[in-house]
Amino acid sequence: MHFCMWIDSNFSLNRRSFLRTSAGGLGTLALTHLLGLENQAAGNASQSVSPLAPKTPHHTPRAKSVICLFQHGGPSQMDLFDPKPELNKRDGQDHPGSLEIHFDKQAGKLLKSPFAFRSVGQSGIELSELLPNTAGIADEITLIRSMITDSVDHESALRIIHSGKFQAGRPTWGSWVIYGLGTERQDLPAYVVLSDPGGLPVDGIRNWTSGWLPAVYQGTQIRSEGTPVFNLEPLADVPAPARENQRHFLEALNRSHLQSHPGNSELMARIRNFEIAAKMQTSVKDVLDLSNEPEHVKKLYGLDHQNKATANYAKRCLMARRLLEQGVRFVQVFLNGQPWDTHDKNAERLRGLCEMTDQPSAALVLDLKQRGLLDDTIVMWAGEFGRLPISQGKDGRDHNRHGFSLWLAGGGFKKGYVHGATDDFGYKSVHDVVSVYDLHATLLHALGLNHRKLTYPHEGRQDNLTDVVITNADPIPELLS
Amino acid sequence: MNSDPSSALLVPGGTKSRIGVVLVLSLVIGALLSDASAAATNSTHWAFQPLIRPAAPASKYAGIIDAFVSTALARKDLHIGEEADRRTLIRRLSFDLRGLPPTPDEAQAFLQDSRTNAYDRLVESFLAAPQYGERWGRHWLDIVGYADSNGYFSADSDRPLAWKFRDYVVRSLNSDKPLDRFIQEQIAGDELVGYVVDGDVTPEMVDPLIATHFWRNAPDGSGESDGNPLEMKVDKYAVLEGNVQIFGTAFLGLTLQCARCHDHKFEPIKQEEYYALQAVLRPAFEIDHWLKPNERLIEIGKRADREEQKRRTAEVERDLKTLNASLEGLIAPFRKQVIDENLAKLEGGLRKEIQQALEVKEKDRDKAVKALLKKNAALVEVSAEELEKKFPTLAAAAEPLKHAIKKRESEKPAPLDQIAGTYESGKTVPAHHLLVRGNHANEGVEVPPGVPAVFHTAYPLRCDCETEEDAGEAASQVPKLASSGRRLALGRWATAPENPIVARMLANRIWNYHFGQGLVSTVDNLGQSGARPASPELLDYLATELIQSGWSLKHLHRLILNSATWKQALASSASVEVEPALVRSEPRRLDAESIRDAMLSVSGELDLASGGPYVPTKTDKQGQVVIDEQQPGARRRSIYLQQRRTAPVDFIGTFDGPAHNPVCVQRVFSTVALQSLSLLNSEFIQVRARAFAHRLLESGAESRETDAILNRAFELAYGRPPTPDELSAAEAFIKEQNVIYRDQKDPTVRVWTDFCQMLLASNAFLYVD
Repeated sequence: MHFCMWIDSNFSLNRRSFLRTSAGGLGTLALTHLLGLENQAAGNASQSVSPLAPKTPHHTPRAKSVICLFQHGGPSQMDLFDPKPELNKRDGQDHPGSLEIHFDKQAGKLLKSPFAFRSVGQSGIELSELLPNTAGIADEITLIRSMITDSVDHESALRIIHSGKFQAGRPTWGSWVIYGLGTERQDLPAYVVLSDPGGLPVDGIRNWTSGWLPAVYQGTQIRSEGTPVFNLEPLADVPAPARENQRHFLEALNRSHLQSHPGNSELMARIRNFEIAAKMQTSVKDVLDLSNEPEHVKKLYGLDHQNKATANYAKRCLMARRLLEQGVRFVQVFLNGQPWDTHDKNAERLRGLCEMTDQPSAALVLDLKQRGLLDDTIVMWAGEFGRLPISQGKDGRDHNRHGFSLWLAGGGFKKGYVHGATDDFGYKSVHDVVSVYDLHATLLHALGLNHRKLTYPHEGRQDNLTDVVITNADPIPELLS
Repeated sequence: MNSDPSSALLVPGGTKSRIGVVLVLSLVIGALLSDASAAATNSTHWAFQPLIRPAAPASKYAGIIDAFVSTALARKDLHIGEEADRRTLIRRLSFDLRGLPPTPDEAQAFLQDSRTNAYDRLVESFLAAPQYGERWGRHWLDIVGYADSNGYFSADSDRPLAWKFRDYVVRSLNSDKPLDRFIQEQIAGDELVGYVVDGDVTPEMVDPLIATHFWRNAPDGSGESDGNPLEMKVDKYAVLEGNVQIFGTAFLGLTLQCARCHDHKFEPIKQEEYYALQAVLRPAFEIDHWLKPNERLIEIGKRADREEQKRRTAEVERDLKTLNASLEGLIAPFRKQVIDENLAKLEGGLRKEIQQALEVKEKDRDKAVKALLKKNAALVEVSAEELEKKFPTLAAAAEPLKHAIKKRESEKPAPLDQIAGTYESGKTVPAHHLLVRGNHANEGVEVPPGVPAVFHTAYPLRCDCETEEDAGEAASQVPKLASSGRRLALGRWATAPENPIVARMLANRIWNYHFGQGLVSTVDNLGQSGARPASPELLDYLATELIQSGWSLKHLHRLILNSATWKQALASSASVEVEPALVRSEPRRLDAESIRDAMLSVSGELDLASGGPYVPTKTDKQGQVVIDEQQPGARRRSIYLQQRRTAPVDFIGTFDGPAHNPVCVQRVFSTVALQSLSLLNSEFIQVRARAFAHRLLESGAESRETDAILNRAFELAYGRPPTPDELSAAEAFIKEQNVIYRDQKDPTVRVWTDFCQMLLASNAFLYVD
């Protein structure tokens, strides 16, 4: 698998491998894809159709692009988004019902949230005091308080929220979006992952794999520190004119080789890729060069924050906006490890985590709005599951798949809206329950894609992100304005 | 044959034992397989039908493959193309069989060989090369999902002994081990050789036991799993599930995972049948008496010898402990004296504090004590060497003791060699249950072991003692069970000549590796949802030929490589539209490992050492996974590099290296700009280019004509001299670079390095015609 796969217009999937993978019946998109290649083979090779060329969605989209701020570990809903007076009142008592507990030997009593909630914005959404900046964008967001998922195991739950099933090796939803929509900017990756300079998140590169979709649809890691893309920097001891000569010489060799393989689109794509690779050296750097950003913008995000973790996260949020502005379709910002996994010192750790993520996340929404980009961009702030209302050990909270919260902004999602509710303790989603699968169907719907129609031949059938037979996924119209 | 537990049980009276009844399983399967009219299946799907050798059609071609192919092509107004020229053939053949380019000497010898059997001889010499097993072994490792890491969680912990399986595969293919034996060993090598837990492991048993690592290839997170019991159960089941998936894609040509939660919607596989396959493995993967990966080990050697080794090791260790204690006793007063002198300089409070700290036994020291001693290490840490230097009497007294320690250490027996294999504890044969909707918390009906009914067998299989015998009574009559025999039955079933699917799967994969396209294009799926074969007769011919040759892979290679079909030159691209599996029209890009290996070969650096533990990867300061150029073995073939599931070598990954989730059923060949960046800017290609340049400039080449060097460069990289266009472009380039580097250090090497890098980055190097 590709640790980091560049995506560009001059990709060409080897025809044979494509024909091989598509023999078991074809979905509409796969068919278009195939026809594109057929045209190419039929002698129209100079205009080879790229699998990344912009594609027409199934229906009128609300959003064109996505920024996902992923919060590994399972943020605690009752301390951040979902106030529970009853829980606070019965602090220290037994939970009255049965609970699915992960670390059952350490299960404690009901644990109240030490944080005050207040109504914010015109909408009056109640948010925790830990989120003063998110409070500032309350009137822009849809807050879902009734999420459920199917696993309390980190890796499995991550695979569910990223790729629709707990098994490893399935395409992530970012890959599906690029497969469905292509990209408008051909010399930048369509699906960018901004990983934490501190290290990869839990489950590593699987968080952005294209699984069994072609590798062009895989996320490309761009580093916020040091070299943004592997091998982007030219070799230090080869002077620029020497490199220029090398490229000309290489092209001469490849053109000569092409003469004995006339019209071979793959060989031509490889020739053009060298030009693109050269262009990328400037295009990627330009996008990531923050030096021309005005001071007030940097300040808005928190690049000047005294907490280095905050400044770092802020930088990635700002980079996400710049990538989006330049036509990148799908950006994911990740944190190192799984910081929201607060099995102990829940309250103390939440303070630090909110200090890191609250300001930059909110700034991103504000900045996009000011630039008129929010209307057709979905911003999603989410983790893989939530936490339990009882304590784990002295002061921690354990995993919970039966209820958790996340928020979405822009891209047609309602503004200042709260969807669904959990029970009195925040354990179980009880009203307007939203499964991760429904969320996927809704996200695709907002992007103009029908989750049932966005299919790819795999293991002899038309497989897709939501696999309705198993999940009963359906878009939730109430979430969209 | 006493090494065969099931045949040993043929003695009368043995049938009442559990194993004896399991023997019935093999017999039942065998009987059903040979019964062509088996009514158990109602599928008419081609791949499940009995394998019958088709008659070759009349044809102008002598070879049967060509007769089938030309007949199939004729129906579409196509024909087999002209034979490729010898330069093209040797390069194609060399990459196909060895994954490496031919050397200029080999190419020259072939071009000049006027004997009528020159080509046959070339095929034979490449088939006999040790690199053949590495190349085709790599294909097998893809099929079975080989990795050097457990790969379930992010920890992706190490599999330190997996390399023995990799080497077993390479060794087996090089010796042309019959594939039926090869497969049986992997499925049930332990049962084939009658392995008993803690029993003798003689040299003949070693390879079949290593082969059972086959079932250890699936991701296994049970060594790292934590959390509640259900979660741990899920992690254990994941191993069974991964293994059934690997078995299904490797041998049945079916994707079985769908049937984990419900009856398969596209294939005639019921959910119970999925669990019946799991049940075959269950005695080796006992959920309730689980062995974590690093506990599932077999020690090599006779039991008595191993016990003797352990006894001797313990003895030596005990002696060493005593000797070391004596030595320490000798040193201690001197050390105390020195420390006391050191501490005497301190003020009383601190001195006392340190003295008290030193009196605490090492294992009882808390953080504060440790910190205090660390802070004053210069005063309290006195080495034996220092003391001996200071006190000659001590040195003299210590000498004989030290000598004795050294001597005793040399008498310590070598550690026992181990195998990460698969075996049954032999204690219990647990009942296996279907999981309702695949939910691990919801066990459904008990499912006996078996194989899907669609393969001409009855379902459910009557295979365990429960069906005919009183289990409790039967078990009590058997003092100790070697194993259940279930995998042995499965292995025999898989390789029975009457079994149509395994030979078809193998023949199709072999064709696929030779042509870049299977006769059935969906190589992992021969089921109803898979593609139709381009020529069903040809596939069945190859499958029956494989069986009749005694399952010789090399026999099939010879048949295919000697066909006019394989030898044809690239055809017009029009014909590939019609019949992609039977014509050659497109150049094939080298796979990731071949690109790396070929670069090392052309640069003259390739290290052909074979086998042994993997060459470790590292993460460089950019965050890229690489092989450190200074690392011993850094220039070995790619099959020997560490293969961590979550951290593949970036150069390999960039060129579509295998993605084992859990297996790599089909390599893809992408063409993306990241590959261009790698070819332009990676350290790997830069170092190869420099070595390639040095190789060209060696042996007094400074005085040689540019054209002679150029000629050799093209011969090495492309397997042919340059065309006039290439030659003039190269000459012009060399001139230009000479101008640029004129006033710099080592101008010649730099000019030629730039040149060599571009040769290695060019399409004529990366593609094979």
